[in-house]
Amino acid sequence: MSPTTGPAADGAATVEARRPRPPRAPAARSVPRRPRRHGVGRQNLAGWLFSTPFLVLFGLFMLFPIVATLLMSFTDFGARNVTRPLEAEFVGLDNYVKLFEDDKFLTALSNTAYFVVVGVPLTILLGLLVALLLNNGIDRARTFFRVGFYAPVVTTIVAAAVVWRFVLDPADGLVAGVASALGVTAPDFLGSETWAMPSLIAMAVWRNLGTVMVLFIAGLQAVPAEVREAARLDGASPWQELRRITVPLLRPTMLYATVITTIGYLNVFEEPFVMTQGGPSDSTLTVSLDMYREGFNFFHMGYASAMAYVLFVVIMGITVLQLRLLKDNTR
Amino acid sequence: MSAHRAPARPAPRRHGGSRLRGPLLYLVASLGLLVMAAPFLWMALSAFKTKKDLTASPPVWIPSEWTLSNFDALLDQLDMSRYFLNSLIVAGLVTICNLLFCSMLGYALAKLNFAGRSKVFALVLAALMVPGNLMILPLYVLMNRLGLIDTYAGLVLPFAAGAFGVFLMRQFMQSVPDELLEAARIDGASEWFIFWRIVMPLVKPALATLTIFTFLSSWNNFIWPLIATNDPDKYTLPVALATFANDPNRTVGGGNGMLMAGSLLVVLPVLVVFVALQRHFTQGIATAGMK
Amino acid sequence: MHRAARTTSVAFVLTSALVLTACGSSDGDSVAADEKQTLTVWAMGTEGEKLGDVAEKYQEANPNITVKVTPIGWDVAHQKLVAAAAAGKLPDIAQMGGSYMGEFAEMDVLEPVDTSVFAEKDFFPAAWKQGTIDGTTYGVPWYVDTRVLFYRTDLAEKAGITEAPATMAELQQAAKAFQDEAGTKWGLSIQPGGLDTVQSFYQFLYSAGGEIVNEDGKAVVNSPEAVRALENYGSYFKQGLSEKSVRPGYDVTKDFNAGSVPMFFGGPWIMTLLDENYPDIKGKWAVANVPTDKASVSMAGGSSLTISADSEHKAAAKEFIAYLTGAEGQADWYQRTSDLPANTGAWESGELATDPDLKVWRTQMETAKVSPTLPKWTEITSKVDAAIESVTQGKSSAKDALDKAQSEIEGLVE
Repeated sequence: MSPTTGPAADGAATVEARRPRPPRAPAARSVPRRPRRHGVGRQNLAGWLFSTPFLVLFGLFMLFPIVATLLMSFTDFGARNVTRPLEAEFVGLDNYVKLFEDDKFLTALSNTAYFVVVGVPLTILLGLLVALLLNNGIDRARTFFRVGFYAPVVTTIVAAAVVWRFVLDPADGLVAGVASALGVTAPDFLGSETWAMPSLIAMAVWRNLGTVMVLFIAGLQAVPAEVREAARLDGASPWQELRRITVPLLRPTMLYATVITTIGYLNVFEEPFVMTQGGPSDSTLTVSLDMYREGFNFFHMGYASAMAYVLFVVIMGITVLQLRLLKDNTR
Repeated sequence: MSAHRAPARPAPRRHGGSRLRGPLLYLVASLGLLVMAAPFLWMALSAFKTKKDLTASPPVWIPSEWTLSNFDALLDQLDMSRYFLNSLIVAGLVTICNLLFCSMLGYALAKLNFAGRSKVFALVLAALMVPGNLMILPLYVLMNRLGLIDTYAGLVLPFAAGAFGVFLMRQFMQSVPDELLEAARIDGASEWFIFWRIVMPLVKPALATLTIFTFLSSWNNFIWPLIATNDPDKYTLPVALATFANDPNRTVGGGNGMLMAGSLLVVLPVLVVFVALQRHFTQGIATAGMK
Repeated sequence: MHRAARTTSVAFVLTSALVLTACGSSDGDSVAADEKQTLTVWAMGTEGEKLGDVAEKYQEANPNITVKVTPIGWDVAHQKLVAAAAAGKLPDIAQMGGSYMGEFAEMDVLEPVDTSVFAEKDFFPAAWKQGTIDGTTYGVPWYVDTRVLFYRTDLAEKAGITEAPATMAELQQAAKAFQDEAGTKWGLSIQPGGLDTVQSFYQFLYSAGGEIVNEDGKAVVNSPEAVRALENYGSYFKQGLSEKSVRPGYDVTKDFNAGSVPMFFGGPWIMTLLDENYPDIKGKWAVANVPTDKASVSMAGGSSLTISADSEHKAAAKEFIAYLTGAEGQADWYQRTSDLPANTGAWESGELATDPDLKVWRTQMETAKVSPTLPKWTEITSKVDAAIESVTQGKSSAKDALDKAQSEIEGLVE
């Protein structure tokens, strides 16, 4: 029997108290121990060395496009500037001013907000539930269930669109069928301004649940079984165990899942693109879709770049807020 | 089914509460599974349908007649083995680079107290938030100047160190107890040793997660490979698939079967990676750290 | 730190300027047509798939030429072409539709057509016009495309309709008869809204004598003709003859086969599609010309072949295009793809000259009207799309919707 399965009333403490086998580094052995402040210098150097590969790649391949797009947002960059970028005229903040007078953009902004505010909590909550279910409740055929719940993530959007249209079809769709069996009329989901957005949110939750689930399952491995066992021996109910032990220990994962889901949803593009094209009457037009149209259909690259940066600022604000609220504990 | 058995310890948990709870959970999970997996099944089944079934109204789920003709047509029209190899090379390299680079920086951000750490972290977060769509045009111009169009390097380098991965690794590495690292430092271990021999084995679930996510996104990446390759010999699978049967006016009907067959072929390797790696989700930090 | 940040940002502005300008057009040396060379060709969708075979045939006859065809999907073609144009990496020959040519001509990346080799009179007028911007032609017409009326003859019989509707009034009567007498769910399938709804509306607009932007480049979308056309279009939705909400990617042929949609306007490829996918209804449907209002005018589309201004193989490219767009090459292309030849000479012999269904297409094509090649055309039509949607959804009158579109479009044509 491995020692981890033994009864461990003070499980949490043991994990931290016990040490791993000392590293076998003969050369390091002979080095005399140094005072702590040298450790700081060492960490400084190591920190930067560990950061180098990322920073180099980022500097080479990301920074230029980012700066170029930022510059574009202050110009009237259009089709003719594709081959003559320097002829684009500097227009200052015109694009940004115009954006906030553009009804379409404001609609897109509020649609996106709707999508995020409803979609993110749903995704995180359901993802957590599924992860708990598959991690604790299900022992048999666990792989099978995990693959099944992850399937939407890998399903091609084209196939997903086909099936979702079939599900939501007002005439002979799945939901309509169930509704009529119950004696109610299902709305024309994608054709109605009220229902189109909730339908897309449902689809997005469905598509992203698997990702969040994987994160939480991986995160749950960091919660030592002993701790939970101990809590249970102390007579904690499953609910108390969840609230007092599991969720607090999952905080770093929760933060990550929330932040990436929010960023992903703020950039939402594929669902409206394949399902509604932003309609009916712009009720599902999102910022990314609007940006895509302005940039690539109408070729207002300058204007679209300004949109990208407004979106960037919004995302940044929200992320910083989330880091604060979920108490990122780096510092 | 003995689909999975935890390797190190025989499942020790006892379900508290009523005896009904177990079956009930299975029922709930199965229902959820049905909802979640249905479109995937649709895709898989459609790949084996004849034209008649594909265009039937209302749609049929189970093919009335199973056929491989969609796959035949696909293999006939596209040099699938080459595209498959290209995709494998690109996704493989991207994944390896990310595993290494993201973990390195993630470790530095989570566990090394260096000057400028918060600035580097802010940069990572910012990189995460930049809406990608519009960056493509300047990136293409840049890559063209560097002569990297139609090369594997051109497909790999822009994605070799993703901000999502750094953020992920940082979050997971935070849960590694500081005491472990301190102890090693006192014993005189180098930072690389600590990172490679102590921390990395402890965050296996996170590495598995990162592998799955990176491999999936690289494997499915579409817009960049599309723009950055002109030579069909360098096409990746999704790009090759998109060259046919996606005429918006003509995708209807028969083309769909080929598209579904293609999608299925694209998806299978990702599922293999997922199945192979998900078992790491049961070797927790506690177990690994206390041998 | 601040100073460092400033220097880096200046450095980036400079490098970006350098990188972006250094890739401007180089005129390049030109290679004579009979030298050994490789032509690069980008073609979209089905054309991209089939062109490879033709290229092989061409190489056999011209051993000094290697043709390298890169097939590109339609939905991504635009982005790829733009990126290539930005980097000066366009292929020697690219297939382009009308709206693309307007845009890329504006970027100065297309070589004007050599009119001593390609003559306007050989092609359908609309096809030639689609590649002409401000008097200069940039694309040689390759194949054409228009819309005609598809209808179910078996259901028509049930509904007591003996002949295809010849006028717009008859069209509406027919739609009603289909619904009432033959019990079809809808009368006519036309798009209620969303992107490119205008394609469905053109048949009504042009036949009524209306236009979006006229010959002189003035916005005229709220003309009385246009208003009448939109009122007519909207009445199908008001009376429940057409479905008010249709998802993107809607496949009308499925419902046509099932009998819930007895009539729709469709392009030439629909014929192949119906034959291939729905052999059960073969002989139970027919095509007819767009019903007459003031006239019977449909939209014209299709693709042309363009040569990149940077190409070093212009002479050889020209010869390859001449082969593809000549009467003989066009007839061969029709056999392979069922694309309608743009060269009228190809219609003089064989199936193209005799088949009654094809005659419908030809007649329609002769009067078909092409959209003006304005660089902002996509944006202009998006305003019309919105106007149509507000009428079909019963949110505003045709007059109000088009007045609004008119004022928006005026700002775009200047």
